[in-house]
Amino acid sequence: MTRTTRGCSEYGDWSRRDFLKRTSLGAGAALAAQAWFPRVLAAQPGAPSGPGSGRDVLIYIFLRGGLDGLSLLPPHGDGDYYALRPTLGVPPPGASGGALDLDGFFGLLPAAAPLLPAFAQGRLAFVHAAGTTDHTRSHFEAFKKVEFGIPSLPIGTVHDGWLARHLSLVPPLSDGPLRAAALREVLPLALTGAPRTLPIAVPAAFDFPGAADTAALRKAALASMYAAAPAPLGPAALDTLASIELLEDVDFAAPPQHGAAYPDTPFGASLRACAALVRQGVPVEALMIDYLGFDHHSEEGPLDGELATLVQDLALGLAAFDQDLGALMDGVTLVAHSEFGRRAGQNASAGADHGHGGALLALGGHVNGGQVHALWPGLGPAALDDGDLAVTTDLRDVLGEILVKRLGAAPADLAAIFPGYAPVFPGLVS
Amino acid sequence: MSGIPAGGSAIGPAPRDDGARRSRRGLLAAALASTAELASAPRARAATFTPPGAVPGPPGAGSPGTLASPAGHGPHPVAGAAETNADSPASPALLRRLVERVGYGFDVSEFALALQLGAKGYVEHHLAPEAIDDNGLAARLAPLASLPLSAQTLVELYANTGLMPLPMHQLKHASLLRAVYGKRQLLEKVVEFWTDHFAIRQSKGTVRYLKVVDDRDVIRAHAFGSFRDLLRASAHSAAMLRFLDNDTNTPAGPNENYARELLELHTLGVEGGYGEQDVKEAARCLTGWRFVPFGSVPYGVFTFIAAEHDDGAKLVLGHVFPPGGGVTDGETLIELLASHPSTPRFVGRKLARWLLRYDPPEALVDAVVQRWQATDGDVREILRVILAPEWLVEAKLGQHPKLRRPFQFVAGLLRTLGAEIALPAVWTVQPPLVDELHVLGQRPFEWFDPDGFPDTETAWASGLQPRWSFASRLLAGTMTGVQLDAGALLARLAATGAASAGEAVDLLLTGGAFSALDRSRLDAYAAAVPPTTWPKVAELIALGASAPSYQVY
Repeated sequence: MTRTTRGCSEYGDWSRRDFLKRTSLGAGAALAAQAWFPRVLAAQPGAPSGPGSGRDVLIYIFLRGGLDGLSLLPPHGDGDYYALRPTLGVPPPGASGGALDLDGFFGLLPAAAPLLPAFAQGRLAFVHAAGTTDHTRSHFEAFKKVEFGIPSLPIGTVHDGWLARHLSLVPPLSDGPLRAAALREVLPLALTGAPRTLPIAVPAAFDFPGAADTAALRKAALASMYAAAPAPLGPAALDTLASIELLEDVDFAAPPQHGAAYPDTPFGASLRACAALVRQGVPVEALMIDYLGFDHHSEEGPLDGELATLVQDLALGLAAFDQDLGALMDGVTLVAHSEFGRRAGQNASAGADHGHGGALLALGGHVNGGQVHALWPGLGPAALDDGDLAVTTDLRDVLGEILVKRLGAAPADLAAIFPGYAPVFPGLVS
Repeated sequence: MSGIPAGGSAIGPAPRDDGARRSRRGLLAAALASTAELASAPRARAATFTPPGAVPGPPGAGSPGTLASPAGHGPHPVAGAAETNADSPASPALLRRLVERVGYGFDVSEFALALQLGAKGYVEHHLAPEAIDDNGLAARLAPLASLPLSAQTLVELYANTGLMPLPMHQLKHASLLRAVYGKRQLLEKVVEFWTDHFAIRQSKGTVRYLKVVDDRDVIRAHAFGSFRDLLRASAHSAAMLRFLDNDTNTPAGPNENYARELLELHTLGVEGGYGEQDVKEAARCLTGWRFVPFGSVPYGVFTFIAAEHDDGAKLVLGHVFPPGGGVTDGETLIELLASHPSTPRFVGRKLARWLLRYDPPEALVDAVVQRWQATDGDVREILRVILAPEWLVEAKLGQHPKLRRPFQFVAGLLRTLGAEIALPAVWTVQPPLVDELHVLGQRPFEWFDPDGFPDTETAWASGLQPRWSFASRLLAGTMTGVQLDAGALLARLAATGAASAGEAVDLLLTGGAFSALDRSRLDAYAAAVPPTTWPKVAELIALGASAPSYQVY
């Protein structure tokens, strides 16, 4: 290798440690002039992230399509439920295929049985009749309203996500390159505009491509080129390079702990990767997973069809995650919700169309679990909201409480995170 | 002469015959010389970068893979395409940017054509796609048997069979082939625009069949026609009516999805001066707009079901629809929207943004609107304004780069490198390059929402690792479904007559658009890892394609 030409010496001793320093720690006065340096300065050193830091890692699961909360959490104690859903309704506890009773009024879809231990041990809670104040029945409109955190504002007035705004406002937990990631190909709306946040579809495959013997030199070349590139490209590239290094040290193949067994599905794999990141102390603040497919206009199959399959995968994955992390769940809050629920009444095709209120779940060491949090509006004709389960708990109440109590958000920042709204904490987490 | 035969298709180490070894010795010396030269005078042209396997000497004279300039201005049209005189419509730099805006990636033969015809002539050439011979592409598309079929035939042949995914896979693969091999590049670029403007997600159930028809008979048929016709065709498209649920829009159970997007996305824009009541009333106008349903013959053909139409009076945007209008309610609505003053401004600005820069000059938008109104939305006339030499100059494109979207990145790199895409052996699984587009986040016709893949920097800037990986695997020859011609690429690098390895890669990939910094970093890398074998040259090209200068155009 020739090292006599200009530019070579700076590559000569380019170790990973140096690389990380240069790209994310900003060591060296010469780097102060780089375009991305102010960003690094803004990063305040903090306590180590994750478990034990006092601030939880958020695992944010978006169940896309419109999860049928009335099937996941059948209100078997509400006499109107079976009138609205004569064949789609989940039978009451004790009946064949009956719901697993949670509190004498709400039951759990049998396919979600793997969640029962975490529920019984108080780490898992549900919220029913939850959702947004916006009444759209369009998936994409609902995504924009929910992920931008603006159910009461017109689309087009806000262009970044609620989670992105939180990450922009809260002091970074570490000066690492990866504050948040979405396990998909493109950043979701909730993370649009978030600082030091990347789409990483498969964390284990987030590697630096090409021959190993030249990798360090190629990385260094890219780092020096992108250091001069303007935002958003330049900073994103430096975050990417540093995140590649960060994830290289994570053993994603390490066996899950405590006998946990993840389902062999994309969702299972994503959750397993998240658990590896948390367990191995990678300083991330939020990880987002999309779970598509909860859109059952026909043949919903809550007991033995498509919904049962999806819910079982969801439940097996969450149970494995909870078991895998064990005591580390003390530093994790996981929340899973959908863009809306489905209509209270079943349709002619053994499904239910897009509705309004729905169900969500939260899992974590500081979740007030073992209960269904619900201000139940009822399912009688007068109680329904245009044929839908009414919303009595605003999603922003749930997310706002998690941000303030578990993720270090300043209460005053909620006004910016959820413009035009003052969340009322439902007591889901402590 | 090198050991790599002209037009050879081998990828991998240089052949080990004596000729190759001889030339490699010489090349090593040449590479060292050129990098040494660089160390003292990076931009000097005294030395010529010579990659392995290429012919030193008069650059490009008969070298394999060299594309002769039709204008006869020397061996390689980009050599010497300096950044000077960037404000002249005839400057090579401006023409290079024009080529990148008209088509997919830098294409040396397109650039030669632009140099020959000038900006105006080059745009005129592309505004008459019917006059451009595209038989090469036609031959590549011919085996994709589902492309010309009706929805009825598609379901007869493929629905409920093992080949159910074939129409979807073939349409996506065809999009890539058209961008990579098509000669009617501007048409293709504008088709991509309308595909996003009238976005339809193909994987939504039966849309997998219907979008094949929509792509052909709506988007492609009207891409260069009148906006009014395009809008009307889209409103009669089964794929659109299905995707946005207008087939379930009834008087008793209104579904406003299509009506809302028709106003918000397709015509007026969110600030175009309509309200919620207009959406509701527009949805009523469109009740009964259906298509022959799955299971009936001929599937997917537009049909108006009078019994499902709300025949009461309506009021949209101040226009009164008297009762009993039937199908004319929807037709009138479309005319109303096509003629509304908000439409040319919203759609015209978006088109200028697509082709020129993220924030097109306001005066250009005014000119577009004026031309739109004078020609009743003749797309060709509007393109003629947007791509007029004076606007290309005025827009200062060099100072306002756009980020390549993943599809542009992939298609452009494949086109620029002359990659050979294999015909997929089976269509039951997604073609390998469509898989690649998926990983990069832009599988054709699969943006979830009806607003189409975003035309913004922020949406795509965070997805760099998949680009780097794509470039690396493509150049390393480890990617399924595609091959590069190492010999031809080496010859083209040599033919650039570049003074250094970095400059050669820059000229190959972009015709000279790289920043001085990126070029010098490539040179420094080439000095550390001398490109004396094809794998090292390939690595250098991949590094160039991973550089910030290549992500923008």
